[in-house]
Amino acid sequence: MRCESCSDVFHHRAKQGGEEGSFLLNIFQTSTSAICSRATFIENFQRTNTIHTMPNIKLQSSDGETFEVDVEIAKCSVTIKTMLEDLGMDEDDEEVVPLPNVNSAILRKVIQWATYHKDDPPPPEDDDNKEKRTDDISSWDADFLKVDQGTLFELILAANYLDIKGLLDVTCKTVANMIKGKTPEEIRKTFNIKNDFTPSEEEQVRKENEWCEEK
Amino acid sequence: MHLLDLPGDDVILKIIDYLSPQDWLNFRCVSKQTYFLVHEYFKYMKYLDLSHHKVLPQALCQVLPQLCHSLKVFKISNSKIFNDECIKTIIQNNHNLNHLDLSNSNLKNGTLQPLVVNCKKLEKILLKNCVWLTVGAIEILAFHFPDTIKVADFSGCTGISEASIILFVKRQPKLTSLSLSDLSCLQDETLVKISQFCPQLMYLDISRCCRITDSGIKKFAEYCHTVRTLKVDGCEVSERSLSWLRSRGVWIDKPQYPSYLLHRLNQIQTWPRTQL
Repeated sequence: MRCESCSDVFHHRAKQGGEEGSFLLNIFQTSTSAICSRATFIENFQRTNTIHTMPNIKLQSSDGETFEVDVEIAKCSVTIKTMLEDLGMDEDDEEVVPLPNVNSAILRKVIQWATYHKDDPPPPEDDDNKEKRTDDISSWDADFLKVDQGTLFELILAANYLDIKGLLDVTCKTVANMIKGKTPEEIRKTFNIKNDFTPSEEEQVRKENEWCEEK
Repeated sequence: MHLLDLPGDDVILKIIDYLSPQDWLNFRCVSKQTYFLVHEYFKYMKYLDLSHHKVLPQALCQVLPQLCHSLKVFKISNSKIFNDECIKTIIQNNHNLNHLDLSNSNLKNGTLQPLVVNCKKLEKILLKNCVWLTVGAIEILAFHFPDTIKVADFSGCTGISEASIILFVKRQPKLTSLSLSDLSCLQDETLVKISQFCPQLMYLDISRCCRITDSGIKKFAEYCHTVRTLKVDGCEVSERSLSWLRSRGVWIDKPQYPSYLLHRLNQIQTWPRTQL
């Protein structure tokens, strides 16, 4: 089982026994999602620590959960950055930025991604003169995106809504890699897509794509 | 949450953009919605590289010319997929084309006609080994095309003349890269004109242009101070002219010393030292 905050795999620690072991085992048994004790400690520390070295901002998910985030990390989202500028919000404001299109589980993942990538240079504009590659996903991003399809698509929607180019690019590349090299039937099976061609339509499409089936 | 629930315009077309032509075909066959989405993608596609594809399904050959309207890059070098009419249609429909590569193709002269009328933003034109290219076609490009071209490759275009090349470079002062290898018509005078008309030239390939001499290279060196790479392999030129350029840091593909001499030098260097 993976911690949703720091991605640490802690199920093995639950089996070690002792006080921490039984605490984690408890969470594991009672919840399908959890934050490990280390991440909980860091969150609590940040919440209660009154000495702020960096200004924070509060983001509220669709299900009402509030996340306090460094404003520079939040501004990797062009949507949030524009909201802050348009609303003239100060960084020390107690105001909360509502994000009605993103639930707490996905927002937590997005914040995790943005925090890891906070020092990345701005992603370059798409170069229309070059072929697009999908073999350049970092190992951290690849691990981060080892999630079920539903979560992956929710992350895509969130990255699109929040306008986070780097996250949108890497999630779309991940889906493209799931399509590449597969036959139509394999793609249907991967994504649970129904074949809604009539037999004659399917025959017509198959004829049009004869070379496709001679792999 | 389902793949096809994702927004079509913003997301699914972006995903299709990462797929190869073979994958488009497979994805198109999955369902009616994917069939529609792939066709929608073709309307917004900016980069199309079908180089080295010997065959593609006939349906795609019919669909692509009709649907592609946003191409910036169109490459079909070493490919025999499209006939003249298809290529003419693609060129006609894509006014934002800035990179066209028809190298090693077997087409008719009139294929480039719509280029002059429709594609005013072209920056790269690659027509290597297009033996169907004629003097008339180059002259039409020269007279009627805006001065936007930065990269041109007419290597091996045996149907063009020296005069047409000079006319072309005279009208394209923004050229930074020019490839004219394997053109026996090229003489020293062309080199002089290139150096005079192309003040931004950085790359010149005149490999195997057998009529180029040291005199032409010397005059080229005198007038062209921007070139950084010169390819003269197979030309009858020597260090008498090349040394001028080498001393300015220009990279030249012809080695400074003949290979037999290099071999001898290497041998000498490996002789055991004798104490005197």
